[in-house]
Amino acid sequence: MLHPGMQNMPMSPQGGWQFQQGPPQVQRDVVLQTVGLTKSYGKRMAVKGLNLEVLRGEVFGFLGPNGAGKTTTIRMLLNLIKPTLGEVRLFGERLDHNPRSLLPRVGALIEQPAFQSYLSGRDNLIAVGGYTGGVERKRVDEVLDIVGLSTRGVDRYATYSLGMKQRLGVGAALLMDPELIILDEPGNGLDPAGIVEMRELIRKLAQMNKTIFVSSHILAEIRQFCTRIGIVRSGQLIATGGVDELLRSSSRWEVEVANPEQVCQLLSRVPILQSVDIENGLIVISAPTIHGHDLIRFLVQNNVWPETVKRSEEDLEHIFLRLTDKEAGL
Amino acid sequence: MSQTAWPPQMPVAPTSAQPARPTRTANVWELTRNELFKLWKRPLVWGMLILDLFFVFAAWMVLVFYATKTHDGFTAGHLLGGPDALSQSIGQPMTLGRRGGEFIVAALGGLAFGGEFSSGAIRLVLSRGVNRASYLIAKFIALGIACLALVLASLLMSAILTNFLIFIHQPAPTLLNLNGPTMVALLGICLGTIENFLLCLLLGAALSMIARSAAFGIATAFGYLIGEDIAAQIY
Repeated sequence: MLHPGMQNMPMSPQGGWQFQQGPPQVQRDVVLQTVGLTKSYGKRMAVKGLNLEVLRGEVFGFLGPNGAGKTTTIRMLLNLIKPTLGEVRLFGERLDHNPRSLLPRVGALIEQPAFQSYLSGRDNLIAVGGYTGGVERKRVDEVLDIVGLSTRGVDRYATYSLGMKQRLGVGAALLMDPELIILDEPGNGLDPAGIVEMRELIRKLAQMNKTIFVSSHILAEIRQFCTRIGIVRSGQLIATGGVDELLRSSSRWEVEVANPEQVCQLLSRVPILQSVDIENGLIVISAPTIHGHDLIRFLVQNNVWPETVKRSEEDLEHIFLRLTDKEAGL
Repeated sequence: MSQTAWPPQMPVAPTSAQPARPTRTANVWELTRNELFKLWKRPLVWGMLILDLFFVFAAWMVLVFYATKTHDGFTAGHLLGGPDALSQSIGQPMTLGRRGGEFIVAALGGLAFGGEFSSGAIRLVLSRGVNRASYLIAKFIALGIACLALVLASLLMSAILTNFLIFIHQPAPTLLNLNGPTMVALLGICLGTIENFLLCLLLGAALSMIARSAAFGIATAFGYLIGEDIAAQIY
């Protein structure tokens, strides 16, 4: 587990160097929040004390291997199953207190889309709209256009390919212009072309400033459009953060200097630097939150003139595997 | 790493928590209308209506056969014309066709409810915040209306066919013989048929919901109806 609050840790003021502080405080509009969300089936804990926050306008990727508890979590988010412990808050209100007014503000695609096979795509959307009091035909046509099914809207759902069915599922989620869209494994079972189509569709939704919560077990699938991701393993959230931050969290700095031992000693006295070692004549600094210009300034202000300063990052795929493997081994 | 310490590019979003458009869950009436829309668009429902009318037609053909070829198939003198004969000639095909209709309705109930559960389509509904009980009640009401349509279609067909009796057998009743007591008698037959249909619908629906399988619900309901026929023969 990575350490919270690392970036706010004060640096000892050697040479006048200060780390940049965290982002400016802005008003946080939390659309989706879970507090200690837990679901157990007998002795088996499917979800354990999950704490999540999804802010308005962000695309949150809920990532985890198969069986990690993603779908169980989503079912609780949609009130399809009751949590054993904890609560779900949508738009600041408890879901269990008022599901009938909160859930219509959410659009969801849960696992495989299940529509009426005898209806056309268009009629299926009309029927889905009927669950929330009806929908204008114009809106149905708009949605079909957004999901790229305008030319196939009149065809029976049974004749659709899996990718088209998934897209119709996303269309149903979009139909009432919801504030929050929850997509459970939208790329499941799709061929590469279908995955690309789905990715483009989610990008398009993100551009429409929708708040999107998307689960997947495929990192490559969601890393391209998510602003933040949460990694879940065995029902527990093991990491959350921005994709860039996750990458940075695993980043390390390699500094080439003439006198590595002395510089190593100097850097070792800086508390925020997690570890400072010498590898192959290079000083290797493990400090996810620092910026290169801060490091260079610090060295120069301490009269150290580096030949090179380079940041190396672990691939996100490896971070995911490392985190999930580590947790699995606990 | 934690979300509170982290978000580097905290999305600055509109602070308004108002929904983009007014949203609410549908009430039972709206849900019933929605279910009727789905039934209207379902070819199977039309197929079953045609099958039910076929049963009525077949029953009418049997009536005609016995009336013309024998003199003891039905109540004596029922094709002699007049209001009583009209009541018989309309009511008997409906009564005879009712059994077939019961099977049809049980299958419809099983398919409509069991299919919803087995395909997972119910999740789509419930995830919209629709109350489960309201949805199931609306579905039952919609299917009940479909049952009423079946009965009315049977009545209409039987009434139309009655007018053709005169070309086959004379004397024969026509709709011109319709009077108050005949209407009451036919109303009684219709209400009895609807009652039977609703019970069969409930049977098929309940069994398929319990097992979450349309096939199980239909098979068990059919088994019950056939068993009832066998028991009636034995006792």
